[in-house]
Amino acid sequence: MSKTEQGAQFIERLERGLAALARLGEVRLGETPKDEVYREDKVVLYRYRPLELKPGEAPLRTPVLICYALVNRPYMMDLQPDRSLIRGLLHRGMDVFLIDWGYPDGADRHLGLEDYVLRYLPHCVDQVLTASGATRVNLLGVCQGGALSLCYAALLPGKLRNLITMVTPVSFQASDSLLAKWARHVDVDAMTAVYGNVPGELLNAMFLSLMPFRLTSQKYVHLLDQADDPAALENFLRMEKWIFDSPDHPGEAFRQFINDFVKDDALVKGAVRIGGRQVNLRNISIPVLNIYARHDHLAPPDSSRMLGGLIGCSDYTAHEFAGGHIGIYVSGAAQREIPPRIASWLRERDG
Amino acid sequence: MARDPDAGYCNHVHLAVQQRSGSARVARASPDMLRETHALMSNAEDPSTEAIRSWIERQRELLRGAGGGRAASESAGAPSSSGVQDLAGEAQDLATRWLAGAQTYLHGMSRFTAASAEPRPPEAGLGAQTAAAQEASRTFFELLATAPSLGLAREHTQAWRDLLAAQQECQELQQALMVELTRVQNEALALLEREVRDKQIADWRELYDMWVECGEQAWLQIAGGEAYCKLQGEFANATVRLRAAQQRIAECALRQLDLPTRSEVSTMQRQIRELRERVAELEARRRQT
Repeated sequence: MSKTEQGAQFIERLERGLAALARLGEVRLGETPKDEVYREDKVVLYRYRPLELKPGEAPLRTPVLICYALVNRPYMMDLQPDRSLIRGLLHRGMDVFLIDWGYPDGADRHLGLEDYVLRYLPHCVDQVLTASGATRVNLLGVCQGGALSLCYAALLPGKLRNLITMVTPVSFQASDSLLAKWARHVDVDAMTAVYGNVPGELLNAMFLSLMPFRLTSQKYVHLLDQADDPAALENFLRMEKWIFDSPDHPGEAFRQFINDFVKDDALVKGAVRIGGRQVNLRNISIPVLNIYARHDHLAPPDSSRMLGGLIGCSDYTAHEFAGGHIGIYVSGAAQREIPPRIASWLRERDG
Repeated sequence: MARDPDAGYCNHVHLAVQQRSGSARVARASPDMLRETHALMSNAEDPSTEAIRSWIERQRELLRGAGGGRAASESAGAPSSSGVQDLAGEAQDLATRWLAGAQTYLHGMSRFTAASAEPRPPEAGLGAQTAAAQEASRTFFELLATAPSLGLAREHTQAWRDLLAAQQECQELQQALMVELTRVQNEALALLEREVRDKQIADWRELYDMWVECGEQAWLQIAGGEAYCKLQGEFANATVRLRAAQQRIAECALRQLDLPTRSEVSTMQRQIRELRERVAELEARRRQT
């Protein structure tokens, strides 16, 4: 094909793609039915309605509480019907609750990690127990929410049966993470004093700059390959919506997280203090399933893998997913692999 | 009443003290008075009574000329008769100072523009012209930054000066970052050149994808280096300082309009949070009992 023909073909595909995008309209996300069971400040606790069980599956006794990160929105766990980790868990008999941290504003700039780990999270755990009638909870922490869950499990283990961490950064110095390297020279105290909450857009710009050529250029060029596939275009727009729907990060919690967890690697050293209490991961004596992604550029495997040597329980299981930080929620492989793995692991430890 | 030769001098000192404490009303008359005092003290080692009287009269004339009849009577203990005029005088004085500041700024900007427009040899290119303009800009800002702020508007002047310095710092660091980003692009092209040397490229798309991969490789190499990490950190910190300087000026304006500032709101939010903690503690204690 001549260069002229290639050019004409490119333009024609571009036109088709733009027309298809224009026809799509607003995408819908997080549509699995759920009910609000508790609200405190901007935090909302949801309970998902049960779905039809897959053949051979039976309900689990212990409910699952998902603790998402303060970065981005939790509907990533339920992006669309055929790419929903939450649906996968519901189909396998789990009673699923989800904490939505909301969109923090200026009034929340002084919220520290102690508010999340020692106030909101315990209150949500209590509400899950009340609503489900169970005596214990399985806590599933995702990304930064995994770090919060580790702190909670170390400080207030009494109401937990099992802990699952997904793509959770444990050590920021063990890996070759660009984020950790960049953070080293930033005066986070001054930043949060001036900005208050750290803008979601600023965080997004930082995440994009981890792979600038791919994330700001190539993925949009590749979109042209899907110009004739409305479903693929819709998937793309859903992801795009999730990526840029970034809440501001509460300032004080950000300051603590970057200084302690990222710069000082204090979680590994047992030096994190939350609400005046020292977080010692050795205090975690419940079973732990640690799921990490082989190609994760935000929470690299080396950052997660070391958890097994830090906790006080010998019932530790590591599961490596052959994908990235996002693929572990939304890829077809993740739908086939992650919910069944969680379900089978929990079923063996359902009390 | 016989005039005490020291009285005029004492009055003068009193007025000078008032000037130091920021009284614009006195400040209008004082430069001439200072000159007169200096002349008296340097020319007359043993001043005659006549010379002193003459000097005192001269001071009175100067004060009258500057609306100082009122100042003189005030210094003798008489109350002010025209507060409105005082305020107008202060406003005029403030305006004069700001005008002088603006003229300094415009002078600096004109120097900056002239330096930017200065013809450069073609081989020097756009980069050299930009560098020359930046140098001129830097010189101007350095001058402005080193001169001390004085007087009633000192704090305002300092706030604007801090803002200019922060802007300048950001621009310089941004420029340094741009140099690094250009280096990434150049490295990416060099990598791509090596990649395509012995390879048959099917179409533009394949070439583009190869360029993206080379770009990411080059980026990882440079952005992961200590020098770049430090530079990016410095830039981030400089933008924080710039924002802080902007906030300082914005808060000053808000206070003048008696509107709440972010600092005030933030203090209240902190207090509310602390109160909530105390309430929660009390409730927990009450439940236990």
